[in-house]
Amino acid sequence: MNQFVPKREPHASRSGVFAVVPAFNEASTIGDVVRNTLRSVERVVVIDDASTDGTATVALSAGAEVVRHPINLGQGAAIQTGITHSLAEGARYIVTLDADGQHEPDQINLMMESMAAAHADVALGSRFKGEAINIGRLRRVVLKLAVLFTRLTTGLDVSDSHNGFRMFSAAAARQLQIRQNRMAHASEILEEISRKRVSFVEVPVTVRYTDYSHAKGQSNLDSVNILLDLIMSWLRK
Amino acid sequence: MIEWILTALLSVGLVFAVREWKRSRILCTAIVTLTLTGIVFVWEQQASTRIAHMLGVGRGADLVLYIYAAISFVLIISLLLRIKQLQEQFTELCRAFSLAHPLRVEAPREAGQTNEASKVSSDADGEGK
Repeated sequence: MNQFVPKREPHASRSGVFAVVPAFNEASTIGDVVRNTLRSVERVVVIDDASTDGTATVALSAGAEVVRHPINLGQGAAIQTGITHSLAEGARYIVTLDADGQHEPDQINLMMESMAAAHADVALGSRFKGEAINIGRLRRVVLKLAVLFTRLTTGLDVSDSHNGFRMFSAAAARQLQIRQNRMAHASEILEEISRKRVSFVEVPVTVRYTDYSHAKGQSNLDSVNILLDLIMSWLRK
Repeated sequence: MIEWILTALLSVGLVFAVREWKRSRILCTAIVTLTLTGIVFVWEQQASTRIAHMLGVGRGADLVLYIYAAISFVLIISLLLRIKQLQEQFTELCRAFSLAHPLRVEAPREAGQTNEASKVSSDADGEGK
C-alpha cells in the first residue's frame, strides 16, 4: 500500500480540503505560499507561532485565516493547533506544508488522488521517491539515518520520515494527537500511524531547497534534540 | 541514630517513586530499586563492601557514591518529565486561547464593497463566523 503511485485522475474537489501552514517569522514567503496553496484547497489556515515580522498580516492579506499563538511553541504544536481548528471548521481533508516555500502546493491534488486510489487515511510526501532539489549531502545522510531509525522504531516501511508535506483524512487527523511541540513531531506522527494502524500511502513529492530554506530550516544538529525528545517520550510510557 | 535518619530520608524517595508511577513506570522501578539498595547498605554496611568487591569497586563507600550519582541522574530525568508535563498543559492553555481568537478577513458583504473595505475579524469579537 505504501508504494502506490496513481495514474492522474480528474481534478480532485477542493471542497472541505484545508491546508495547515505553521509559520514563524516567514513574512517574506508566506504570502506566495498562501496564494499558491489556495488554488488547490478550500481554506488555508496559517498558524502564526508568535512571529514578530508581520507574518500574520501578510498571510491574512493573501487570503488565509490565521490562528496566532501568544508565545512561540514550536512547529509540532502549531500543526496540532491547525488540525484542531480545521476539524472544528468541518475539514474533510487536512494537508500540512511548510511556510518557507519548499513544497509545491500543486502536488496536493496528487496526494488526494493517491489517498483515494489506495483507500488510505494518510498520505506522506516523500522527497526520496520524488525530487529533493539542491539538498545538501550532509542533510541527505542525516535524513537517511532518520529513515533507518524510524523503520527500526516503528516498523513502517517509509522512505522519508521528516517531510512536512502530508495529508490526513478527518478521521485520521482525529486519531493522531501530536504532543511533541517541536521537531520530534514528525517521528511522533509516524509512531502514531504505526501504533494505531492507520492506513497510509507514500506519495513522491518535490522539495526545493533554497538559500532561504537552508537558513530557516532545521540544522543537522537538531537531530540530536529530536532524539532526546523521543527518548523522553518513551520514558513516559 | 544515623541509620534511622538515613532510612527516613531514603523512605521519602520511596514515596516519591510511588507518586511517579503514573508518569513513568521505568523511573519508578529505578527509584524503588536504588532506594531499597540504599536502605540495605545503611543497615548492612559490610554488605556494601562485599558487593563493591564483587562489582570490582574498591570500597563500599565508593559504591554508595556511585549509587547516589545514579539516583541523582534518575531524579533529574524525573524532573525533566515533570517539566514536559507542565509544558504540555501550558501548550493546551495557549492553544485554547489561540483557537478562541482566530483571525479572518471578512468578505465584503454588499455589492460594490471593495477589498479595502473588508476587515479583520476575530471570533472572540462576535464578528466572525
